[in-house]
Amino acid sequence: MNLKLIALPFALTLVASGAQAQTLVATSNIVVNALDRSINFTSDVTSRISDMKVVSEARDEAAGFVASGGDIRGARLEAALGSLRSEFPEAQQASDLALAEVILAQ
Amino acid sequence: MRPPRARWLAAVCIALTSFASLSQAALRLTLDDHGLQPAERMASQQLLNEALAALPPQVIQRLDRDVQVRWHDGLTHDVYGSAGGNRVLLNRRLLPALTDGSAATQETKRPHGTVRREMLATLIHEIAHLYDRARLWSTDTHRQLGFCSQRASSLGKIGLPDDCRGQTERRFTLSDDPQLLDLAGWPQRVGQRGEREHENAQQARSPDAYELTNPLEFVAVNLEYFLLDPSYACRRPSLHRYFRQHFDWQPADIDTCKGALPILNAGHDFARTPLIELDPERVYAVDYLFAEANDAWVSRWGHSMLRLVICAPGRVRGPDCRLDLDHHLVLSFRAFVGDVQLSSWDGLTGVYPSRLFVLPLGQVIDEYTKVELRSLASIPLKLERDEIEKLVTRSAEMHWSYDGDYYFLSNNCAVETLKLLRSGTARQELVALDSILPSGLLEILINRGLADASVLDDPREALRLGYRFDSYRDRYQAMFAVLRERLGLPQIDVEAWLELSAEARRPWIEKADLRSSAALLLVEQAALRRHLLLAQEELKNRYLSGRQQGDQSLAKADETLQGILANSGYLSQPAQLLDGKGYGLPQASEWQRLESESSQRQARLSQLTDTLNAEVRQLLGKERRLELESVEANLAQIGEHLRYLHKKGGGLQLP
Repeated sequence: MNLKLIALPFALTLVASGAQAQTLVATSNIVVNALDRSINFTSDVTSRISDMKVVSEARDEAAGFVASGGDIRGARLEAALGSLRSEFPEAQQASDLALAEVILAQ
Repeated sequence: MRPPRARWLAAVCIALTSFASLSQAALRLTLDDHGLQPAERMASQQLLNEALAALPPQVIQRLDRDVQVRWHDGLTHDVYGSAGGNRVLLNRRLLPALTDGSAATQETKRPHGTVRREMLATLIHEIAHLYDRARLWSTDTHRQLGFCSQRASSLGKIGLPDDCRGQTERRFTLSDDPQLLDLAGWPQRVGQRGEREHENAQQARSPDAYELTNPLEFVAVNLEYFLLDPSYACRRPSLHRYFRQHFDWQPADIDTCKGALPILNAGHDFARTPLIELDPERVYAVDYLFAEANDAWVSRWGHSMLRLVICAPGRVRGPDCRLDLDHHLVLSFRAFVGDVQLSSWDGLTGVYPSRLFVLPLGQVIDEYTKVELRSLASIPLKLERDEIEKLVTRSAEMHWSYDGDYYFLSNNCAVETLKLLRSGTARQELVALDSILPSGLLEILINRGLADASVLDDPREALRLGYRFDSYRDRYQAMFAVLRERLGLPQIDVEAWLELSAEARRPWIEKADLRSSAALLLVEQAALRRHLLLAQEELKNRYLSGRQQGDQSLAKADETLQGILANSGYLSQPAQLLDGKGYGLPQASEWQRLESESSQRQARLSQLTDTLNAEVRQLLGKERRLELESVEANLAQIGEHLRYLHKKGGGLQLP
């Protein structure tokens, strides 16, 4: 198995300025979210596909899939491919790569 | 007037029943009617009969004794009753209201409703104490306890078999049963060989704060509600199940529960309705979701969570539900930090409340893999169907009742997750587990055959089916390799590429083919993420120094930020939404208030977030702001370019 089961010894001296509340619901996340406007980077044209949450959440994985020539294939892409095929008859015969490009071009 | 024949028949029946009760041992409640008026006697006897009728047959059969019930003058004003030996005392102050019937309509502020119900509950409460003290274990339990105490005296606590933990010095029928203590809120302290917590942290939405005093009172109070309140089965389903199994019986009058459980989704998308209905039936599996460690000190041990694999509406429950990712929820115990800085010291000493957050899986994946650059492993727990449903129900109960303290050493996410698994599934393998490390807990679960790590054997399949979510750290490198190969970038690695200004990277966009554009998109996102974190750091430093120096420009953002923190607290402590009337899981009568309160608060949060979004960029230094905008322009341009290439290449178009 390839899990990293590493437990580093705990030491108070590790408290560093960059160690802000990473696993905690704290202000850093709120501030980063407030600063982040990346939601606007997709196409302004709304369509049935772009309204599908499972598709918009798969965009980054679709990018990885297309860029790697199909090598990197994550679960969110897998879920989106399944949804597109069950939602659109014309998607049923399309290849995974063709559908990943559709997702990427949203 | 009733005909004589009927009277005679009645007399025969009474004779027969008393004969029956003589031949069979049973609990008897005898009223001490000394000095009582006939009406008082009658009303009292009626109350005793009702109490007896409400008790489980097992209590009546096995608690073989005559219990004297007496109205007593010496009790404090507010006390309803007390018990000692085989005698129950009731507060004489209440007798007139019982006799004239006014007690039946006189309302109390407590869930029992009226003074008369309260008196009935008092009798049951005191009898419950007697039952609890009488050590009325079943034959099997008796045998087990004998075995365990013998093993303990010969081997000591260290060599004790797992299922003997907590069973060596039992003194009560119910209130020192390990399973009862787990459900009641006195879990094992980690690493103390079964020693229990002293404080009960299941404080929210309690029917009666007196139950938190100690396990003895917990049992007595809960038996009142188990026996008298038809909604107990739906409000405290796990305890109802426990008592039902213990007595092999349940009251005739119990409510039919709504299958779905109310849950507040604490995701950061405040535009969405937070209140969701979680139906245990729709949960296909529960995974141990493990975030691997990174360098930040709070993350050194990794983080443990539970993932509920919930099926999309309309999908038959089965393996296909694994890819219904947008319906999956994550249960995560986190410290609730209501201030801007996380202090290490506060975390160690337990100043932060520990809360159970319910989050959408998508957000959790993004937070770990893209923001913190940590990988997630999702290992299925090997649970039976009924264990899955019990665990989900138990999680909902904790969501509504729990407010603990977070200690990085002794009560962190791993300890909390273990306690939830233990109380939710009652699996024997979990009884004697002790681990304070998220990775250690996972290892033990795997070794004991409770978690199936074989899903990770084939890394590609693990990634495709969502047993693993890779950190984007490696992905950015892989994307950069594609760019170097296809575009011939001169930089050696992704870090060097990201060191360039956004403007310097921009000319490459036009030159990129589809594959390179896809790679550019991800790498530019890394750039954005990096600048967002730098901006956040800049704000934090300004904020912390500005707070002391009275920096006016920050005051408004500070106020908004504090507002968001203050207002988001309810998401992890939903009991705040309801007034104190109900207890346990909210029922149909409370839904309306729940819906209106939660949407009101969410609207407020959404508004505050909009305000913050509008303000926060103005607080950045000009250089930082321009660079951020420049990266965003790149991202927009890459998006355009991708669409252009897709169209030009005759790519598939869907409506």
